[in-house]
Amino acid sequence: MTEAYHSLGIWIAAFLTLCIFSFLYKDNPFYKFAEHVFIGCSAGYWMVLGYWTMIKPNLVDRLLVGEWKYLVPAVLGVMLLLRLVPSVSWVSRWPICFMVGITAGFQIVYTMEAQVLDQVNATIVPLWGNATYGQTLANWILVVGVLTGLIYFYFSVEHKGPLFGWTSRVGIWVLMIAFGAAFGYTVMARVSLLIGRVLFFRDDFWPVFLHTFGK
Amino acid sequence: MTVRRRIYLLVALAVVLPLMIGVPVKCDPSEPTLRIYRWIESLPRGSKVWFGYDGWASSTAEIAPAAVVVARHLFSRDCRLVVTSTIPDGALLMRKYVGSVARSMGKRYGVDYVMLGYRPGDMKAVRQMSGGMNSVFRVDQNGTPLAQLPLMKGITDARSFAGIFTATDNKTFEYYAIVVKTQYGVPVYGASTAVGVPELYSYYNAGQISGLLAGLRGAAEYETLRNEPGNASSGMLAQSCVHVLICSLIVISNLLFFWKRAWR
Repeated sequence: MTEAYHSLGIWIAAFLTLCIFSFLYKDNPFYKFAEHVFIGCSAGYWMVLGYWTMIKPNLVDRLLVGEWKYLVPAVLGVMLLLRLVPSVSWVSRWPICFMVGITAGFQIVYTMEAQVLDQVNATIVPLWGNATYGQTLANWILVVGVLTGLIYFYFSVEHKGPLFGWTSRVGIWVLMIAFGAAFGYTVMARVSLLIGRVLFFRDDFWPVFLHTFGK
Repeated sequence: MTVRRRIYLLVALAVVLPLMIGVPVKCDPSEPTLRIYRWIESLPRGSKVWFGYDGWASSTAEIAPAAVVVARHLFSRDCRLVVTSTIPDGALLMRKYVGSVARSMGKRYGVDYVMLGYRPGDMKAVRQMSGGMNSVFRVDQNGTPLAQLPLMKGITDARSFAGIFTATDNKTFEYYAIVVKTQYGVPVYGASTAVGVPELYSYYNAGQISGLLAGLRGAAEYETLRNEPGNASSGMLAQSCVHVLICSLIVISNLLFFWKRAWR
């Protein structure tokens, strides 16, 4: 029986995959059907998971054992849902303010350390006296790339003349090369997803297909 | 047939035909990949590793091969894994991939590995978990209290782990680097989808990330290092074919553009 369920699941997955791929030809009812099934399943899955992994262990279970301080987030949660009632929707701004304040305060500390200080520190590298010429070249590219990129985004001075004009132009080149690298990685990622689906057809669906038709 | 549909057809052929041939490609490992390998090889037997399966189902094709090959390497070194996720789908996928590797290698649940499941909150979740798993999870994914799991004894905060490995397709890798590495000094390793790799390299160069598997290619490099050809290695021939095709299309279309302009 389990094997039958497994086969059925594989058939459904294959059918939905082909439905989604059919959009490459043109928009059609099969694609729309698969899209709606995906959204509906995702919403249902998240709702169930949200209750059992978030609300129940973090709120319901704690209130049941008498940890009354958790009434505060419960009330804030209810206030957030009041956004759905137009006459009192303004109440939802309070928990939103609370969340924004907490998140901002929380992130500022780590962001300053990890995304500003450590990153600046990583750009302070020796420009000569390295073990290899390759390392020296890499360090020069790093420092020049950072400085010219920063100058490109410095808009308080018009980008003209040898200092701001030329360096900001180099900065554009640096940015374009970075975008090109990012695009290359994006292509790789999207192709990998297609490879994953083809591997599904080859390794999962094809044996089930043969089994279903008794070959 | 429009040009767009012809390109789709060519891309489909460039992917399907190599995969039908099914020849795994060996990839020379890059330095970020080698660092993960060397780290795991250097771990003492029985080390505890925090393993985050932090990817959505839509990215399974890219990150699952990396998660599987690294989990297999860690288990082969008798490392003990505490598996968590900051993504809802990760709760299921960690069972399917990391759990199946553990079972196939005869590892005992609760002693050699534990699956704590999904924790919502993104960066705040990482912050909470790194401060102490026991304060965040009261039970594991099966509903067993953590106190009854031998592996969870002695785990106080992130420093209880020899390191972190995350398989992710989102910002979680950065959160580990920002929170766990910065605050606790615990080395952070991981596999990311290729889309996120350019941004992660800035953390890698700054030493905030100690090792990185870059997309399917990174997983294929690791499979080559381990001499365990899997889905990543068999996908690399298709990957290469599509890249050659896309580069050719870019060159041809540019040449046509300049030729048409000169002709006018």
